[in-house]
Amino acid sequence: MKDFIKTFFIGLTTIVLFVFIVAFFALSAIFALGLFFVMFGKHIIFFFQGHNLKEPMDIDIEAEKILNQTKNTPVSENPAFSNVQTPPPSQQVIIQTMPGTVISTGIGPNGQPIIITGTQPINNTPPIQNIETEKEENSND
Amino acid sequence: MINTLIKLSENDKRILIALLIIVLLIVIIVGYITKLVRYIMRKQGRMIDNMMVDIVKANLVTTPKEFKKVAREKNFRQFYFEALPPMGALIILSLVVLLYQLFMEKTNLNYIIEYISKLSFELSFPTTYFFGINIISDWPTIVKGPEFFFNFDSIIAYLVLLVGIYFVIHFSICVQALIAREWRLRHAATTVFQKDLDTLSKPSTKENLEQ
Repeated sequence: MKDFIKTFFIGLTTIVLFVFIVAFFALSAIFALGLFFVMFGKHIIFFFQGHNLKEPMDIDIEAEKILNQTKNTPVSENPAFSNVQTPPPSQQVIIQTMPGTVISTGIGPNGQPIIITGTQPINNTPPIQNIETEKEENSND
Repeated sequence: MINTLIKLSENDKRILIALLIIVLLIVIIVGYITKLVRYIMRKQGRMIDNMMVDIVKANLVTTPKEFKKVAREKNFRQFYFEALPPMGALIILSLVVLLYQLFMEKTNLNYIIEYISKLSFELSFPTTYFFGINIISDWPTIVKGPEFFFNFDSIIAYLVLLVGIYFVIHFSICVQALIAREWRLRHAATTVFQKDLDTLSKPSTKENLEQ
């Protein structure tokens, strides 16, 4: 019923604004006609320059190059990630927090949420499983 | 109150109800047509997403102004190639008509209008007198059917009619797609580069997670 009333009002609005819609469309059509001839002229100029309007634009080619480069390059060698500095593996990370501040969250083996706070000793908590690896395991089963 | 001012006969009431139903039906049909056109335009506008996604991903466009400039250029190119068949047909037809006029030494295009008007139906609508107005009350009867002719003039006239119909329909679709893509690119230019504070990570506390 709600959808029906909504459709009714859309129809009513369209009928009321019909003249303006037609006028707008007519103006757009005139603009489009002009645009077509401008693009036709451009097409001819491109043709004599040895190019084609159908060819991808320079920006497209550049974008494709960048995206291919990003795909093929490993993250460590990728210039896009050159500013990211990873700590050496032997370095010990000490997190100092206020009591009650959340350090990490995850999902336990039984699916219950685990929240590790500043006061909670990390060693006593059940192992945190990655959601994606758990999903993969489930799909393999 | 109304009964004292206007006295409606049983027939008038029936006509009034029928008119009301017809008006309601027309409004609802128009509503559904509008919904369909909006759906089609939304789909046509999505082409901008396909055109621009790689460029935005590669960070080659970083401001709404740049986005609009590139997207508009692509939109115009797309329109040009879409509108090429109907415009080509119209240009070829114009050349054919022009050459025909030259060969036949014709100075006007009246023969085209004449043959096209002969293709039309003539209908007679039965009417009923209602509140001082003559209103259509039944399906019409055909007074004259379309007449077909087979000579050079008529063939040119039919060709003009067919190509004209094709041009109007195809070109209208192209213009509609042009408008749809323009709307989409204007909308996307504002939304793609919009910075939203809500998406920034808040300091996560236990209370926040529990909420």
